[in-house]
Amino acid sequence: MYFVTAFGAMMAPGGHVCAQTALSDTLSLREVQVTAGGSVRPRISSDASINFGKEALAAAPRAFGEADALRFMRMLPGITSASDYASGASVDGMDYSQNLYRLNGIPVHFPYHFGGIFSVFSPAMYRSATLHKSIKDAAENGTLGGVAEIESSNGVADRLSAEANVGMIASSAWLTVPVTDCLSLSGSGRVSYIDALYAPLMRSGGMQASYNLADADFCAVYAPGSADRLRATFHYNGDNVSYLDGSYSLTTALEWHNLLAGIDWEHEAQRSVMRHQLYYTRFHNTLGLEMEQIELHAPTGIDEAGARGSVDFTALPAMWELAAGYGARFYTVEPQWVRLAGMGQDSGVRRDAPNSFEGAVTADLQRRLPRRWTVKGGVALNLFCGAGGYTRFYPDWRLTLSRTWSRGSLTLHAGRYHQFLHQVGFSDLGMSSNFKLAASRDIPPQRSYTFAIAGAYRPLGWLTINADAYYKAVGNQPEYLGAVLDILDAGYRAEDYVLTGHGYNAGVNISGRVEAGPVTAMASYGYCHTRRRIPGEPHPFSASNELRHTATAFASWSVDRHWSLSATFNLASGHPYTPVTAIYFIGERLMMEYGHRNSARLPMYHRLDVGASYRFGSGGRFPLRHEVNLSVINAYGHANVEMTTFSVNTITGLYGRRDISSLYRFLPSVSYTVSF
Amino acid sequence: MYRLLFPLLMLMLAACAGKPEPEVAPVRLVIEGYMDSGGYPDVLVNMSMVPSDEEGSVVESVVKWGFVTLSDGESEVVLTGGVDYDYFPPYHYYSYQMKGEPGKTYTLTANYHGMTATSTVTMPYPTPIDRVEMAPVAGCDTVRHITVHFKAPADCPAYYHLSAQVIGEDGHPYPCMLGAHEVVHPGEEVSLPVYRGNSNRQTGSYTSDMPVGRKVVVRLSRVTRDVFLFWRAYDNASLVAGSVFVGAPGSLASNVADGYGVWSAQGTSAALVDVQ
Repeated sequence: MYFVTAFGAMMAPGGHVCAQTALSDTLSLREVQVTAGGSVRPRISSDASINFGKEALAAAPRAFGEADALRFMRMLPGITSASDYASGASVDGMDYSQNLYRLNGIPVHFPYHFGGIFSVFSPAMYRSATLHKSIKDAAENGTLGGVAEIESSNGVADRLSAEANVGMIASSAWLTVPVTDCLSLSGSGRVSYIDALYAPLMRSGGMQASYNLADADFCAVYAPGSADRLRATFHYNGDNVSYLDGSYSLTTALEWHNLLAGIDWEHEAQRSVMRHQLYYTRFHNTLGLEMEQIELHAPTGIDEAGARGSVDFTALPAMWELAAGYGARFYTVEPQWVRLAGMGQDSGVRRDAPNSFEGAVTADLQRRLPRRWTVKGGVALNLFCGAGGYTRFYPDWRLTLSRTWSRGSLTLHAGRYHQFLHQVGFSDLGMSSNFKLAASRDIPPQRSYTFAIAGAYRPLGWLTINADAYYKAVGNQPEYLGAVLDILDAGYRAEDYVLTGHGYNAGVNISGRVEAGPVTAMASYGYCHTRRRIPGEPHPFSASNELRHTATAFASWSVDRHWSLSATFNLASGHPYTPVTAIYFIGERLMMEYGHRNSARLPMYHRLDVGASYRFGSGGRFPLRHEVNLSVINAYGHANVEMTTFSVNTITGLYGRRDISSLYRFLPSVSYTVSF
Repeated sequence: MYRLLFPLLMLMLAACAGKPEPEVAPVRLVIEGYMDSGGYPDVLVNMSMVPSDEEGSVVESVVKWGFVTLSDGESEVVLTGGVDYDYFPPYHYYSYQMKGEPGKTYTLTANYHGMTATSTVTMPYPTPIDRVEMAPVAGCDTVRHITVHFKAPADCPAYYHLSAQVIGEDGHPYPCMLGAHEVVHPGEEVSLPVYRGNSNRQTGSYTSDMPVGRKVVVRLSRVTRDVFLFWRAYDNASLVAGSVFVGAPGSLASNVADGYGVWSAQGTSAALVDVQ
């Protein structure tokens, strides 16, 4: 008879539970794999990482006909977005640029299409996602915020599969073909036609927006034997958005693209499991301001080549686990510069693009202790070499202590983190025009000391409660103080407009999940408090993306085998903004005096999204699955305020506050999906 | 379960209780004034307005009984206030007793209801305009695009501000959009586009070019660096005002002590253009 004395479980993407067991008698099982049925819920594991299987993503509420992984993540406590237009998510109060997104292991520097409507990750192609919040192993380094891993299937497909989705703003298609027993190919593509259908909704007063996107993906999986697997990944997305402000005949345009390519190899040996990867990733953006004869183009971008890998040693004594890893990133950051025509002589001097190297060697060692305690220590030896001989070495550490019970788990974590790649810009919404800057003497690497506790408790079979709390002391946080026209200056250097500050984030998150028969529901609440200090600002202030209180409730009901209904309600404190403290006229235009940075808050945000899906199959020789989805974003049309300003009516001589609301008000969409 | 939820509920209620009072700056005097080389002072003096959820009236901000003086270090004149509907708000201060001379230092002081705002500027020498060019605008034959050409002075960096007045439409010169420029290379041939200013009073769609059939006074004013920084910030604030995609532009840098706005003693060259 064998007694399981420690059981730590991690729900892996795809519904596999990879469990490490330790037995008190003479036989120890190295690993047990339990294949579980899919779940429509995200799984929160004992280390507080969150895993979404394909069933969870497929059941995610749709926006504009698309079920998007990153949008789904924003329903979770501690993951917030300060605006309907925001391209990014804040994890436990951190900045949008402090998250690391990986597509099959390859970094994606800007993973969003415009306005955070949905991500660049094709929902049909990439069907599992893992999010690490504040608790991360040493292997997950190089960033202060969350790490989101988006994965396609890593196995060789054994049958032909396809899916086509036709929505109101975009259509997509995905196809997987098993070429041989050991090789399968997958491809997907998506194009939009937003301007054709939504143009009236993208017009407001004298403003008119225009937008289109496209993305394409390709993946090949080759498994010559049971011990080896090779996967090649390619991704491209391109976006064009323009915004005409009639009051100034000014067109603001953004064009950006991501290009990714990589290959990863996984090898299972008798005493270890190895994963190695080579990749190239590129993100470029051009901000354009066009006003009749004036044309200003501000390009920026980053090109990165890298390698990363890990070795899990499986032949250690039963109570021990060891994982080692490495990473090497070579990147060239094209600093923001301006090409100008129409204002005197045409001008534009491209600045030198400095090369940087970021390398790390990591190790995580775990030891099981009596009474179901586990302790894990990790170290990441980070080396950064930047422009002008700027070189830094930072040994970061992690310490994680966890305890499991039959009905739950508890994890305590402390660690030091560094981030060498900054991102700053004019936008607080994480727009693509925000540009990268590598660490330098002017802007040292960002740093955080993180302390977190996470727990899971399952009092009833159908109810699971998760809670976590965190405190992060952050340093060298960049704040960009430049204005749009500053980039016209002859000696413009973005670094001259960046100040670095310090502060902290503290918060708690709690969520409850119910899965009872045909009903799946999740409710969550998050509290986040941030403070930042920068030189020259006399008062500490809240981070721009801080939402003090957030609450989300999601419910779906499978009425029968055809119909399912879902609803999501979001409630959040307004995000901080810098208030106007005085207004006055200059040149017959209203000018504003601003108060302390981020010292006021917009009104509370709330929104209800509802959806209904009808699924059916068509038989015959070629059975197909069909789904028609109807969704309404902001079903009761609440005018959530995105910004507040002041205006004057020169006829009446009256002035007053003017709230600018989100365009997402009662936005219906229909999509049709067919698959086999 | 309630042990977990009760403290959270209390935390939420405590956090929601009481809305903080909005931050408001004390009312200050707002100066918008200039004196050209060879010209007379023209100054608007108003009070800043307090933003609130309630509507307010611009009329309440007009300073009608202010005491405004201008000194060149040797003599001082008191500016006369008067209603003028060519301005908005429709009241300005002026004097014909002191003419601008380049190289002299001018101090403007405004007093009203215990508030005092003051600013001192040394007037730069003007840079002559070499020529003004007109060019058709593609797709629109009712406007012309104007460019002003001049040679950069020897004492660079030099700072310029463009303003223009469409005779018969504008009651006074308006600051041109994107009208603040820095010139760094001495002797350089400089050409600058002249974009018509856009005020809150204009109705209909805005065009930055000049209407055919009108005469336009184009003014090239050499200004001090402080004045340039003000107009640069003004351009920036005008450009991004109301855009949800760009963060708050920040307060305007002012060269007025204890007040807002700008006082500019400036070396000005002007050209009258018949737009055809």
